[in-house]
Amino acid sequence: MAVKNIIKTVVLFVIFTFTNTMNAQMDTLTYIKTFEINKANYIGQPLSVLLNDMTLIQPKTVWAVPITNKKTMIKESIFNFCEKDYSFKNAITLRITWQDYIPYSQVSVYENDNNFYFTNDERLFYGNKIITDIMVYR
Amino acid sequence: MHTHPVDGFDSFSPMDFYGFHTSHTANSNFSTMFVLGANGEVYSLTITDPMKFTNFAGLFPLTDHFDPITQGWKKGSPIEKAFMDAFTGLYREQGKTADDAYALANTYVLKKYNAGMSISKKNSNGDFETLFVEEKKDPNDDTKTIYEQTSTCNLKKKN
Repeated sequence: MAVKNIIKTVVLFVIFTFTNTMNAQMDTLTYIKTFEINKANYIGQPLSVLLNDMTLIQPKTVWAVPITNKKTMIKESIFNFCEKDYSFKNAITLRITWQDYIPYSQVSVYENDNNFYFTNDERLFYGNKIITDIMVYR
Repeated sequence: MHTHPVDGFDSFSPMDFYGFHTSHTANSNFSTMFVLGANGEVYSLTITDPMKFTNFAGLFPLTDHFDPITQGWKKGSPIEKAFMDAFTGLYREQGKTADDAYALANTYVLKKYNAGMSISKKNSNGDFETLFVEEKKDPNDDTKTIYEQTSTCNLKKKN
C-alpha cells in the first residue's frame, strides 16, 4: 500500500512539474506576443519605451541579424529570454527592426564585451534606437 | 563564375540558389556554379540530387522564401529561422568567422530542406571540399542544440 502511495505521489509530482513548465513556457510566449499585437504603440518609439512596458520579464541575450548584401550593417536584432546556450533552437524570440541601419562594428564591440548578454551596456546602446517593426515567434 | 562585393558575404546567397535553379531550368547542362568572394575565397555550388533540386523551388517558392531587398531568406520563413539558428550557433558559439558561418548555415538549410545542391569551398591546395554541418544535442544537456562543421557526409546514417 505504501509503495502504491509513493508511486502515486511521484506520478502526480511529475505531472504537476511538467504542467507548470509547459504553462510557464506558454505564458512567456503569450506575454511577449502582446508586444507584437500592440506593436502600433511602439513603432516610431525608442526600444526603451517597450522595455519599460515589459514589466514581467526582460531580454537575457541580444543577437544581430546578418544582412546578406550588407554585412557591415544590421537592421534587425533578436532578443531572447532564455540562457544563451538555449538560444539556438526554438527559443522565444522578439525580433526588432530598427528605423536606421546600425554599423556592425558598433554592435560587435558589445558582443565581444558582454558575450551577447543583454546587460546595462546593451540597454543603453539599443535603448535609444527607434523601432519600425516587431515580430515574435519561437 | 561570379563575384560577391565587399559588402556581401563570400559564399552563395539565396539569390544564387534560386538563380541557379532558373539557369538550370533554361539549360540542363548548367549544373555547377562558382563564386569568388571579396576576401578571395572561392566556393562552388553543385547539384547533388536532380529530383530534390527540381522540387525545391516548387516546395519553397521564391515569393515566400526570398527577400529581394536583402537577397537573403525571407524574414520569419521556416528556412530563415533555421538559417538564423545555425548562423548564430556557428558564428557566436563555435567561433567561426561571419563569412564561414554564413556559408555553413546555408549548407545546413540546403540539407535540411532537401534542396538537392551542396556548397564546396576551395582549400589551399586548390581542391574543393564539400561543406557539411551536423545539428546535434549537447551530450550533457539534450535541451541544448549544437551546430558543428563536420567531414561526415552521410549524417542521417551516423550512429
